Amino acid sequence: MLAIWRQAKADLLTRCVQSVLILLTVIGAATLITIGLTTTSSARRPFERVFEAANGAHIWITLRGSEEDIRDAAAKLAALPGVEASTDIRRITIGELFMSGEHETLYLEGISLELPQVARPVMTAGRYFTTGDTNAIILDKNMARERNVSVGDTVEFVTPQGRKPLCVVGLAINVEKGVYSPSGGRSLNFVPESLLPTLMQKLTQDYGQVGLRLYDEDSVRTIWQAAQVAAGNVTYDYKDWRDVRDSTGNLARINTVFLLVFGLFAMLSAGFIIAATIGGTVLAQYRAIGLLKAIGFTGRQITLLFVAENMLLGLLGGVIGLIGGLAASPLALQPIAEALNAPPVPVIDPVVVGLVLCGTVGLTAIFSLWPARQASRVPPVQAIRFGPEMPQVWPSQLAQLAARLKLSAVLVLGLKDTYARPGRAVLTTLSVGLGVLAVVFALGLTVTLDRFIADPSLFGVVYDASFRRNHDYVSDAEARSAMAARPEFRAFYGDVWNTVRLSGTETTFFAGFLEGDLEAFDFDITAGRMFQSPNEAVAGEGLLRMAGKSVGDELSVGTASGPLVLKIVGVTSLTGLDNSSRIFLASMDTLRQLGSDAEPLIYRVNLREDSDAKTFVMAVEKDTDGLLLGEVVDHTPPREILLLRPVVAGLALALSLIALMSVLNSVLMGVRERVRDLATFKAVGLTPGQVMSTVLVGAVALALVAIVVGLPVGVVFTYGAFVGLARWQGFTRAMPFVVNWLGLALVPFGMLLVAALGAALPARWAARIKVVDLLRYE
Amino acid sequence: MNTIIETKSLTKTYQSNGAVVHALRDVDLKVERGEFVAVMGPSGSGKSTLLHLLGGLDSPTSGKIYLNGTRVDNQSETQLAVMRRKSVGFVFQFFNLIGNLTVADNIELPGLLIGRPRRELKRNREELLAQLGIADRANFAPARLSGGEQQRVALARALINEPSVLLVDEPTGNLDSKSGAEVVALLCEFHARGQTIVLVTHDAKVASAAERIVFFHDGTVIAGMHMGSKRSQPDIVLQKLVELGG
Repeated sequence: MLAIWRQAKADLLTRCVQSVLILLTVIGAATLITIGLTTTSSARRPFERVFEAANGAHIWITLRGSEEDIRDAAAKLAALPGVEASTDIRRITIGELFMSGEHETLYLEGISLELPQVARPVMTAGRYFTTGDTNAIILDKNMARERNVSVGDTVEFVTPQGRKPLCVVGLAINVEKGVYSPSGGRSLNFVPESLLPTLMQKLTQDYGQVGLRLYDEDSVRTIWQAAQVAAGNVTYDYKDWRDVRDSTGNLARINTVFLLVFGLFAMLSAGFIIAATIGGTVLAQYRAIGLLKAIGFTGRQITLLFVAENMLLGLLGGVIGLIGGLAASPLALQPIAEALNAPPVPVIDPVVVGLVLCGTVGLTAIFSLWPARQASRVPPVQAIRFGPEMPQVWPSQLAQLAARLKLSAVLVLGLKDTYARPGRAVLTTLSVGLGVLAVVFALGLTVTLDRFIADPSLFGVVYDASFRRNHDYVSDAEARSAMAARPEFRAFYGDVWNTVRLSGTETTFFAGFLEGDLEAFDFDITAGRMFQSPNEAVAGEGLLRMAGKSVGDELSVGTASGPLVLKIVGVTSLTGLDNSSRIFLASMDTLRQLGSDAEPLIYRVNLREDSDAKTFVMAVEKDTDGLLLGEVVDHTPPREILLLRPVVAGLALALSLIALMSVLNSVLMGVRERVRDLATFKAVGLTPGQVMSTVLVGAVALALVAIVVGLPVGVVFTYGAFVGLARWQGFTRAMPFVVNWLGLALVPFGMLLVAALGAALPARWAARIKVVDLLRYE
Repeated sequence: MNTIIETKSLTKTYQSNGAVVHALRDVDLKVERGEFVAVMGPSGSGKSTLLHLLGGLDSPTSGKIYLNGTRVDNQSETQLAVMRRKSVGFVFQFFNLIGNLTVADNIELPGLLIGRPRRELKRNREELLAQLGIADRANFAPARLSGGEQQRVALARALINEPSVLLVDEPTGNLDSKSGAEVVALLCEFHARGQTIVLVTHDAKVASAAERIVFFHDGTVIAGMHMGSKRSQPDIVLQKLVELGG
């Protein structure tokens, strides 16, 4: 073993440039994978900390019925076996709050003046309520930051009687509703429970909710079943704390997936470089290997020598990458930590440490095994006497083509050299190909996001502005008339969203019932057609998958007004209030047939060309004394999606750098092996510039092959990734695949530049070869 | 006859382990067109250094080199490369064929560099290979040839552009005696057709094929000898060497 160790140390030092290149690549890959894995394993930690600080409820059960029914049910739920503690009955309303001149739709929860034992707001600024706080509000900390509201400011809540001023006494975070985001989840805010009835919408008055803290945090489903048995029909729905936890983890999850995928790509590239390097080392040390065998090394020891050398590099790179990844992880955890006011401290998970180290060491071992076995088969006598076999004379198609086209001899020579060592050339091509793939993906993602921002209808948003009607104060007819009175108005449709239950199951989902100038809106129907009559519906793909239905099938659901059977006539890309595609859309008349007096609560408006949505919204709000509250559609994708752009661009850059290192490694070995040939080139009349060009042409030709293969593969990969991403994110239709033609046209130039840069240094060395020095020491 | 190579006070020194080594000292040499000159001397006498300087593979420390009347010692590396491909043919002891090119490609390479038409090159190459007796080896990889055959290919490559001068460095040093003799015979044959040759060797038998022998010792020319009618008599050369203490 000592002999192997000494030899391994000597080998690594002898080819220190290659060793450093391998080390750098492994470090890069290990860092990416560490960040990805650590973020995944630590993403829940900030939520879990806050959940403990809030003494959060593991299950929130929504109760529906009379005041008395709800009270009775709450008492039964608190007494269920397995329940450690419960909250009071909490009531929640949805409403509009004016802050800093702007308004926002949010949740308002009534809460006791005394800090509750279970599911208490976790204060981040200001204070909790005290006796005498009659017009106080505790705002969601993230919303307050976004809206620039501080403790002590006054905000106004829209009530049937007009705007009610409320004093912000504190800022808090909650673990009931998940994290607020300006383009997504609504904020949860708290007011004293005595104040809430004066602010409440009629719609929400028959509902209350109770939070239960359980002895076994994973027994949510069992408790829900027990609750249904105990409280019967009063139990309406429930929310699992794990869903909230996972939704906060989403802030980092998408980036994490990319980090892991690109990290694996980087690892693969590192493997290619290792295999190519050992192949080169075997050739360079052919005589030495023969000598080692001659002095008593067995074939197995030779294999062990090369594998151990690279495992050592893998271990070292893994450790450095692990440290680097752990140091960089807080950056990836920052969005969650910031939202939950928790420190972005990564958890040093032994599983992650094990995975990264085993991954780097294992991969280097796997990729070094084959070339190491080749080394072990070196025949000692032949190796000592004749050295390595010369590369075979391959009939290079590229070189033949170049010769036929009467291109310069330098070009032909360079092309001829490209695949002189086919194994190494293929490995380098694969490395560069991975770089091409990463760049193509980054370009596809960027241009697709730009397309989404430019055309929000791709998100399923087909309107310019929306209004929420306070139905206690503004009638449907008044709302319609106020909107239609404006010159900017073109068309509207109104909708009301209900929770419905899939018949025969306990699964609930959202259903939208629409009426208005539906034909004026460009609904994205991805299959079939839009509904045209009552009892027809268009469904989201998520619902179709869940229910196992397709266009043409019938769907049975339970609604608050009774059971409903609908014929699915099409598939829609719209998503529901929970941003999922488990929805259906049907005519408002469908509800009315069941005896419901449903009227739209939300109005979606399309404006005439060149109209300013903000001016229109402000004018309608003014005309209705602020009781029809409008919102200009925010077309900005969520922050975590926007963050993908720099993340993926950075990852593409990292893989391009690895491709550069791979080219550098491959060309460097080629130059070292062919130093006599290159000297001979000079002897027969190639100028230093021509020698340099010969080397560069070889590298560029490799890159060309990688581009030719990598571009289409990259486009297909990007398409597949988008389809997967869209499904994962709950988009009903595949994300529109936008091809960035200009970008794709520039990719070859960029990658050729990468290859040329990688080959530049060894090419310069080749150009400076002193022929006489070589001849002198032959 | 006119002078094709001329050196004036050619000196080359280099550093080796901190010490200054005088490889060549004030060498004055003239080679006439069509002449076959052998440079002889013991190891380290500077004969190979002379050949490298004449071919522009190295630059002198001082002194002048003229090739075809043009001074070349002060030219750039690129100019020297262009000069080499047009006017100089090299044959090395270890053949130095490009391993991943076929015999045909190796031979045609210098021709391609000066932009000769491929058809003409092919014809020339076929003629050369036929003259050298390896016509059937055109598509072979160099590794598949014997040492003698490889040296013939090297000779063909050196001659493909009909250079002004053929610089040959220990052409038989890596060959068995039979192959060596065949290569020397081929050199004589090409010389007979008017090819100027400068041959470096320490083998008296090989040197005796030349029409003039220049003896080197410690980087200087210590004697010159025209073989005249005594050509092909290596014993005389050996005798001279002994006289000179080489």
